Amino acid sequence: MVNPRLKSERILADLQYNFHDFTIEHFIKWIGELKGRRILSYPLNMSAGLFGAWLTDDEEPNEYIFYRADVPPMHQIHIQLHELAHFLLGHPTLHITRELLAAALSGKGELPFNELARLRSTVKPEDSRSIREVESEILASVIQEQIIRHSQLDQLTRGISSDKNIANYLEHLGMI
Amino acid sequence: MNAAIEISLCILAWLVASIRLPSTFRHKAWRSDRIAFRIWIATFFFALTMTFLVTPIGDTINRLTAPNFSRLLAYCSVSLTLYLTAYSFMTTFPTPKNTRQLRYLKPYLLFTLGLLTIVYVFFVSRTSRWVEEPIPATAAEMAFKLTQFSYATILCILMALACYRYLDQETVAVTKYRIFAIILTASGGAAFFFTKMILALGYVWTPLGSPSIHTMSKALMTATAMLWAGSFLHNNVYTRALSIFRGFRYWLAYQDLSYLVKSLDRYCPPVAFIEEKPSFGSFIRRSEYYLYRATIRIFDGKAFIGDILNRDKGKELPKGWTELTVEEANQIFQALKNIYASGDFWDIVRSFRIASRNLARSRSIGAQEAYGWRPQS
Repeated sequence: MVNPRLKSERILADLQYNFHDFTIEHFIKWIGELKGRRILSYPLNMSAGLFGAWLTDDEEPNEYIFYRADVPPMHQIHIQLHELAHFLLGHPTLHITRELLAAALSGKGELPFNELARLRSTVKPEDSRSIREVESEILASVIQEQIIRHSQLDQLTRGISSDKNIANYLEHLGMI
Repeated sequence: MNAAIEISLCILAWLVASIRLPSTFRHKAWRSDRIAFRIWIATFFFALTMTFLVTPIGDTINRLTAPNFSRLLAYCSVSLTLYLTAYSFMTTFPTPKNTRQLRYLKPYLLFTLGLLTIVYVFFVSRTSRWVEEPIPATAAEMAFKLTQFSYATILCILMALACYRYLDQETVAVTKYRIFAIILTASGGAAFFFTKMILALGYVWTPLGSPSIHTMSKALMTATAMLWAGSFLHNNVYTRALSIFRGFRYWLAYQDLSYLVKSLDRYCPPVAFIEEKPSFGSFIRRSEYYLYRATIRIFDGKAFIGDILNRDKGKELPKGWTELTVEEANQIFQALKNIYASGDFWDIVRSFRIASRNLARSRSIGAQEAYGWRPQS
């Protein structure tokens, strides 16, 4: 079995994404273009114990990511990354139709989330679903590591100085 | 000074000058950025100064030219180094006061160079071989040193002030630290040249040339030379240093967050895996990452417990939960209820720290009420 971390790093390298540009929207768009799928992300009121879900469109080349609407923005970004990781890892997921989606988003229907909600409390660690969760979380954490590394550099180096003259001066001296 | 130290400092100065040379040529700094070019010329003159001060080289120059000529060269080149550096700082940090003071720099340099030349031609060139001692051997040597060291002290103070006036306007942390390093270098230089002035005055009043002042002067010189080299380090070094510094600062914050994570783990198993607690060394290297992961875990646990506590009436508790578990989980939920959950990440961390301490306190009080004793941790 391939080490999940190595697997994650390989997937990330294949994306060739510049984390200096990271915003969740930009990252989702990048992956969508790379994989030839339109990735749509929606906040949703979810049932207890469920934080996010990824579903694939049966009719169109669309992927749907749902994340819990009532958690802080920072948590929402994490959930989206976790679900994106499932997609990047090529995990199996549930299929839906546009009709079902429209009904769910307008509050007239329900998405097939019931199975997912039970995951945390009932699935054993050796279960394939649990293994997929671990893989996905590891990939999400590797992505987050990259974001933090780059946003730190971004803050500290791309914005070299508040003053343009000082930035030029440091750059020409070879300090940047 | 020991010849080995003289040569080491000389090599260090040439190293600083040569490291910057390719970048200066690559960017054609003499055309595109005159400030950067001035700074490079300053490092070059500083290297020259250090070369003239190496005793065997100085002696050779004196033998080939005129008596004590190496001293005039060294003092003139250090004056030029200071002038170019101060000029660059004052134009790079263009506060109104810096711009006002800028106009006096050139006349003051010319005055100093003129005075040094006069003292040299009429007095220093006619004295015996200059042997560098803490206290000058002749009045000419004292005048020569006082001219140079007073100039150097004033210019170092001006440089430190030029940077200091700008410091508050800088918002990028790493550049702020670099400017702070320059302020320290300039202040160290000013202190060093001031001690040299005092030692020079030891010619007229012996107690001023005491060994303790001499020792202090040597220490200041070494510190300034090291800071000078440090001010020219690449930004990546500053970035890494800043990251480590942050790691130290946030280690205790991480302990508080870990306490919350540990408390949550008992009631809310993580969805995928339990992250291992990093060692101090690992944390220092990736402090922001670990704090971020802990924060996410707390958000996750809080939402999960919230779901259970706010479950519909009559709905079953998760497997293994009892009413006591609900009560304990509620204690954590209450501690996390009013946390700061959006906006600046560091405010969220601070908010979690407060929640963590409140939880520890409430548990401690609860234990005292129930069992008549308080746990120590």
